[in-house]
Amino acid sequence: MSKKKDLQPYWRPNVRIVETLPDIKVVRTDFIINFIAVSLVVITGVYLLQREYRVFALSRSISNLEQQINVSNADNNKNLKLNQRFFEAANYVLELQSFYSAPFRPYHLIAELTQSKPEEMRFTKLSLSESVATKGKTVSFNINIRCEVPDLTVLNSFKSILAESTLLKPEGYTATIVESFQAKNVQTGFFPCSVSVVIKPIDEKSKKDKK
Amino acid sequence: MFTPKNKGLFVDVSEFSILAARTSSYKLPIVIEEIGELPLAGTSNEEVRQFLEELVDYKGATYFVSRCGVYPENRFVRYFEAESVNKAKDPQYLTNVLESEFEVDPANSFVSILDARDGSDLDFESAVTRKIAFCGGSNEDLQKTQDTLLGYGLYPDRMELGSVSTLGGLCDYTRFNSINSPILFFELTSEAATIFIQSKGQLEVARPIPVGLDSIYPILQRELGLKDESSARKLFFSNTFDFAEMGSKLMRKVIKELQASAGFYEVQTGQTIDRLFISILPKNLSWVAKTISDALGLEIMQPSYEAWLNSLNVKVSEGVELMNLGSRWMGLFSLMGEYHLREEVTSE
Repeated sequence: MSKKKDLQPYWRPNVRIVETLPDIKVVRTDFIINFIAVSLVVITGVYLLQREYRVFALSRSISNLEQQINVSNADNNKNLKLNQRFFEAANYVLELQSFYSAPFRPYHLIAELTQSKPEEMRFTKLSLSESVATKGKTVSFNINIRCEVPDLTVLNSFKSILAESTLLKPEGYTATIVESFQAKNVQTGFFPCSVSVVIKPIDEKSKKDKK
Repeated sequence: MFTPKNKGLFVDVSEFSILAARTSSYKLPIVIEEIGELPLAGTSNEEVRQFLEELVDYKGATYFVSRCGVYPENRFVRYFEAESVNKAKDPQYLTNVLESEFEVDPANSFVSILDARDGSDLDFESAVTRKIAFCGGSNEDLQKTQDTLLGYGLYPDRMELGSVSTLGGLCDYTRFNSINSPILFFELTSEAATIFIQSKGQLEVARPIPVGLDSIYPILQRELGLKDESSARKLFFSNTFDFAEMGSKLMRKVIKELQASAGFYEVQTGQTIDRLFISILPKNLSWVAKTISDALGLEIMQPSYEAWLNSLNVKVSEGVELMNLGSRWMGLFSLMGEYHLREEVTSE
């Protein structure tokens, strides 16, 4: 007889005989499909979350870095200005260095030239420049004198004086003097002329060859 | 989660036919998606299976889990009114009643004891009713029926007595439609017949009568001068002969029993039965209901299923037409009803 534990829906007692029913339990595979589908969803979800988090983290670090860049830009500009000033100062130093490393002092040269200049001769321009030869990296000095003379003999005499000057022939250097002149200026009665002196180190190789 | 829900298959297997319905699932609310009928006259198991496979997809399995209403040969439904509530709660007393009054051997039978007022399982500890319905069948018979179902490829998730579930369906239908007058429910099969009277959804009479369709064949043979009973049986189920005229002669014994039961009930209760409900019988035996209703002066009940099912959270899909289905389909639809939820359904 039915007991309380076997309570049925109203008017519907279940009279089947469970003991003699065949076993229809099979290894269910549906759950595997569900499991895979759920796993895929979870993995995709985790992947997307991770990616979103990375994007968020990167965006945050980008904004931090941009902030740092903004802060550093000001410092950088300051440093660049300082650097520029440093280079400018360094150029001065280099100029001074080259000034003092020359085989003669320019002011001695000016003094020498003005003292040895014939009285009738007038300097219109005096310049001193350096040039560095690409081969051997030797430094040459060019002295250019623009002048006016009433007579060309004055020019020749000046050239001779320069040729004799010891200042223009420091040790290890040789001097080449080239003069040129133009037609006489009728108004002034002077010949515009120029004297170019090239002081360059003596070539060691050519020295040996001479020997 | 992603796999589609398993379809439900409700099957009412009587000796005459198989009525089946595919539903969206078993758990309410459900939708009746398709219904079908297969007359059982020398039908093989393979043909039944083929019929069922047209309704549901077996997915290569041997069985389809289904809910079945069955009519085992020795099934019984008996109404009993105990002298007191206390006696109705005494299992030993009830066992004695079964054995002595209803000749049921509880040791070799499946017996379910219901509260005749609502069909709920009788709770021996808290029952407050004297009105009881015994129902069940012999273990041997039930086993045979279960094996038949398995042979059709039906694995019974539930195997219910069609007589009881139909009775339950009728009681609930009566309540739902507020039919207050008693209804005479007659179940007639080859070997047995049972008379039920229910009033306002409560069972008040359930008694067998010692006649079945088998008892009609000799009369038919005699009346028509046929050579044997099997010829009479064959003719009885064929659609070629009109039994309307000689119906009362063939059904005389049955009608007598029905008149006796109905008359006794009416005298006892003072209520008048005005409706007749006949289940199971196939369409070609519709003259039986007509003959009985004419003889007893009762109106044949033609249930309107859709509204009733709808109230039970059983919907009907658009392609399914229930309008012209007769009372024999009550057995199938009543397998879907969960009447204990009725209060909840109506209170919603």
